[in-house]
Amino acid sequence: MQWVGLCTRIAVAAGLTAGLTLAALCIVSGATVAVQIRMLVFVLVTPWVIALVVIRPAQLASAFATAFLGRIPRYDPAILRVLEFLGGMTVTVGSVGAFGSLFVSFEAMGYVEYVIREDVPGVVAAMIVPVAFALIVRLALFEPVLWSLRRRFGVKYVDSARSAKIRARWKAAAIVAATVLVLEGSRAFIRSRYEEPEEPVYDTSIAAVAADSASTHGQKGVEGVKPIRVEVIQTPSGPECRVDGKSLTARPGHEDEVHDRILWLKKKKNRRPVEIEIGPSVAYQDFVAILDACARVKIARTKAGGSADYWDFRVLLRTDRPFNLTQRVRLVWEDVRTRDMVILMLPRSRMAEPLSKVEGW
Amino acid sequence: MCNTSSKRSLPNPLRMPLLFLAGLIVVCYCDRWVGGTGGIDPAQMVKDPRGVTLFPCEIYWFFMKLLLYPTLLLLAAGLIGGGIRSGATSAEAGMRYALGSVRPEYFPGAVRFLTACARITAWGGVLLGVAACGIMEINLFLNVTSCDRGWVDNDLYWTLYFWANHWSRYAPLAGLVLGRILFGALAEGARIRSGETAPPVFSRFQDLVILGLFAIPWYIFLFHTREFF
Repeated sequence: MQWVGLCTRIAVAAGLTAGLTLAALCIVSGATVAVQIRMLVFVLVTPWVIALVVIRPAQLASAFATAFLGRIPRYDPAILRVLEFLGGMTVTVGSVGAFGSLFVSFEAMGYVEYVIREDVPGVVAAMIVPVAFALIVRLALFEPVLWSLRRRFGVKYVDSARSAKIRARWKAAAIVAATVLVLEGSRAFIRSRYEEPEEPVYDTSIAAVAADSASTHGQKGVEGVKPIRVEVIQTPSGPECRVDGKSLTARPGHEDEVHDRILWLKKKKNRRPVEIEIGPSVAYQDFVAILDACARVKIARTKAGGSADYWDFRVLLRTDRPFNLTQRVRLVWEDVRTRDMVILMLPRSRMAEPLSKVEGW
Repeated sequence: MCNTSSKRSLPNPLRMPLLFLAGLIVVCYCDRWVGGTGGIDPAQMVKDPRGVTLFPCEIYWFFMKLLLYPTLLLLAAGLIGGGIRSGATSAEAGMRYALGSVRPEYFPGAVRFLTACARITAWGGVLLGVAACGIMEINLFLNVTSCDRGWVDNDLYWTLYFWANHWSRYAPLAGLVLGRILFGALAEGARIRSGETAPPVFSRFQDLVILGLFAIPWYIFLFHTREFF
């Protein structure tokens, strides 16, 4: 009979785990099954590994038997404490797992050539799913056992867990969560029916890093072409711009020199594209001055009947500060527009897209 | 019970720090292992014009460097604050416990010190993240409302933009790893070994509040990039 009981409990535990997996698969369907299973294993196993570091194995084995095999100890508050610790740690490692997804996503965005819109649900799901799993595991696996143990071990734990103070806190948290959900839901509802989609905002420096990286590395069609290298560096006497090694002043007001030099290289030497490399400590204004000069070269070429090559103009950014490409593109484009100039073509990057919107901006 | 078992099972003073380090490595590498990217295939590493495959170590180091600063700040704040809050004797006992001397006389002091450290670092991390988030929002608000690029051209804008943006996400992570996982696990372990029946270092409610505060910068981040996401 003992074996029958044990087998029954194991079967129930397996069924519960499978149910949790299926429930999570239903909640977030964007991630692949492999990703979800890895994350479920992560939130199930890692808290026990951490507990093994600080709690004696015998106590941990008792806690495991209590949680998964239903072997309730007669009276051992330490088991209760171990299970509370494991439940809390489950939520924590779930949060850390979400950050892991964020790291990997940004690496992939930065180095994969095209991050298409179809990839996005998977990225979001990969960030949400570890936290969702952690909450499911905690609420479905640990909480029932904890409440059962508290009842068995006496009124002390039950009272402490059900005090009016704790109830009030939970109520306050529930009210805040419900308010946020209602406001966000209603806003999304109204926007979807009555408002035009807002203009995209790309303002995160991480996005800028990914975009810069993508524009730096994710390029095609430039094999065998020697680019024009424009380096902007900070010197003791001020910013200096080197166009293929020729030193020019990079202060605002001196863009024409850079412009003429680049144009000469393009026309006489048939060189392309322009690569701008910004050194550390270069001021924003100096960077914009160079960008502006390059934009004017592009405009001159387009007016003269040149091809509108996407890769005619790219930016290598080596700086400690986040030169948000999109933001600067817009500023330069504003300059171009006010001068009644033509389209500015810029490095292709999904993060810096859509250029069509920039054109019409 | 604690006397005999602890002396027998932990004879080596290096055992606790080694296990401590092992736990950290497990968390970090499991985190890397788990971190899926959904639809993006990381195997599609691009090649530069010379055909050389590029690896993401550059961006990875960029993120790790950003994580290092809040980690060091919170570690210092936790140790100093924990020492002030619990007293020098407890701090000594806690440090000895954390370094592997699991003697019963250290337990009460270790519990006090490590609990204070855990709470200071965990709450400090998430609150720092929320504060950074507020700074980021104010900065962006000034950017949006300023006319004629007045604020955008300001170097202060970009400095705030960079640091507030990253601290809002990395400070909570550092707080979680340091406070909730490392100090929290040590404090809980000391409590359980000593047989203390007081409430845990972090209650269920506190856990969920920390999780909620942790989520705020993420929500803001997704809000600002909602066109992409």
